[in-house]
Amino acid sequence: MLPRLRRFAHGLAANRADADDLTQLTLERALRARLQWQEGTRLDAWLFRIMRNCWIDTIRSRTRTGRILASEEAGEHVGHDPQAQMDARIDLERLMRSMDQLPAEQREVVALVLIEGFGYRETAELLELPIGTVSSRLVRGRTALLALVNEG
Amino acid sequence: MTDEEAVFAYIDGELHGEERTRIEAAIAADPALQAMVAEHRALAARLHGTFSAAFGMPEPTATLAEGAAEPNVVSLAEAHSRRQPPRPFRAVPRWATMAATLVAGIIGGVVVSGGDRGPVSERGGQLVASGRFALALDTQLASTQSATAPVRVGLTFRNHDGSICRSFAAEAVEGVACREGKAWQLQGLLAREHVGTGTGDYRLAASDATANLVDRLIVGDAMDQTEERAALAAGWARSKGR
Repeated sequence: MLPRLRRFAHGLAANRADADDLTQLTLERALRARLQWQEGTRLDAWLFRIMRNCWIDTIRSRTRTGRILASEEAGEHVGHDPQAQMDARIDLERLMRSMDQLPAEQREVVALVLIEGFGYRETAELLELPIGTVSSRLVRGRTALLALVNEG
Repeated sequence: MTDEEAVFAYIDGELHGEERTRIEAAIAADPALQAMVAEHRALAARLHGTFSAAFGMPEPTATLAEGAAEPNVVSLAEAHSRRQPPRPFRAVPRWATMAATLVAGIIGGVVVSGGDRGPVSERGGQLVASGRFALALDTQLASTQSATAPVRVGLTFRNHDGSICRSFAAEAVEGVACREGKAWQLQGLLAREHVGTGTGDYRLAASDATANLVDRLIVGDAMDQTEERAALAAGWARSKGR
C-alpha cells in the first residue's frame, strides 16, 4: 500500500519533497484516525481520501501565506547529460511539473484515473462528486496535460 | 456524456455494450480521431508507467540482479536455437535464465541503476521488456519520438502470426520485441558497439544483427507512420484472420 500512496502523492504534489511530506502527513493523520476506518470498506480509498484532504489543506494554507517559491528541483537536472539510469526519474519530475500546472480539481482526477487506475465511479465516490463532473474534469485535465507535455 | 467524453471513457475502458460499439465504429471511421486516441493512450501509459516505475511497481520483481558484467554480445534468438527446445514441464527454461543473466550483466552496468526493476524481466519463462523499454515500445511512434529519447523505436512490423514486432535501440543495447498478450517478448537483445562514446551513435541505423533478426521475423512490409499510429491506437493488437 505504501508504494501506491507514494505514487498518488507524487501525482498530486508539486515536487518530490512535497510528495514525501504529503505521504508522511497522510500516514500520521491515518494513524490518528485509524479507529474511524470501518472494516469491510476499502482501505485504499480511505487512505487516498485522507491524502487528498491533506493535499487540499496544504494548498489552502500555501495560498494564504502567498505564492511558494519555485521548486528547487525544477531545473535541477537542466544541463546534465541524461544518464540512462536517471531517465525514469527525470521523466517523473518532468511529468510532475506538467501536472503541477493543472488546476487542482483536474489534477486530482487525472492522478486517480490515469496514474492510480481507479474507475470513474470509484473516483466519483472518493471525491464525493457526480460521475459526470469526474468525466468532464478528466477530459479537460488530460487535454491540457497533453499540450503541456508536448510543449515541454 | 458528450461524444468527446465518451471517446475518453472508451480509452479508459469505461464503456460497454452498444455505446462501446458505437464509439469504436466512430474511431475506426476517423483517422483524426484515431490519432487523438493514440496520443491519449500513449499519455495514459506514460503517466501510469512513469509514476509506477518510480516506486517499483507494478512490474514483477525481476530475478536478474545477480549477473556479473559480461562483455559478450548475446542474441536470445541464437541462444534459443542453439539449445534443445525447453521441456514443457520446466517452468523456466534454463536457457532463458542463462540468457537473462547475460543480458542483465550487459544492461546491468550501463542502464540499470540497481534495485529490483530493470528494462527486462522474466515472465513465464520468457524475457519481456519492462520499465523504460516497455514504456517506449508501448508509447513511442517512430515518426514523433524525440531525437533524444533514451530508447528509440525503429521498425514496426508484423510477424508470421500477425503479432506486432518493433525494433528498438538504446544507448547500450538494441533488439527486437514482439507483442504477446500485454507484454513485449524479446526476440533478441544485442549489446551495441561503441558503447560509451557519448556521441549518441545509437540514433543511427541499427546493426546488421538486428536487421537480420528483423528479416527473419517480418512478414510483409514494415508499417508506415499511419499504420504505426493505428496499431498504437488498437493497443498493438494482433491482426485478425491470420
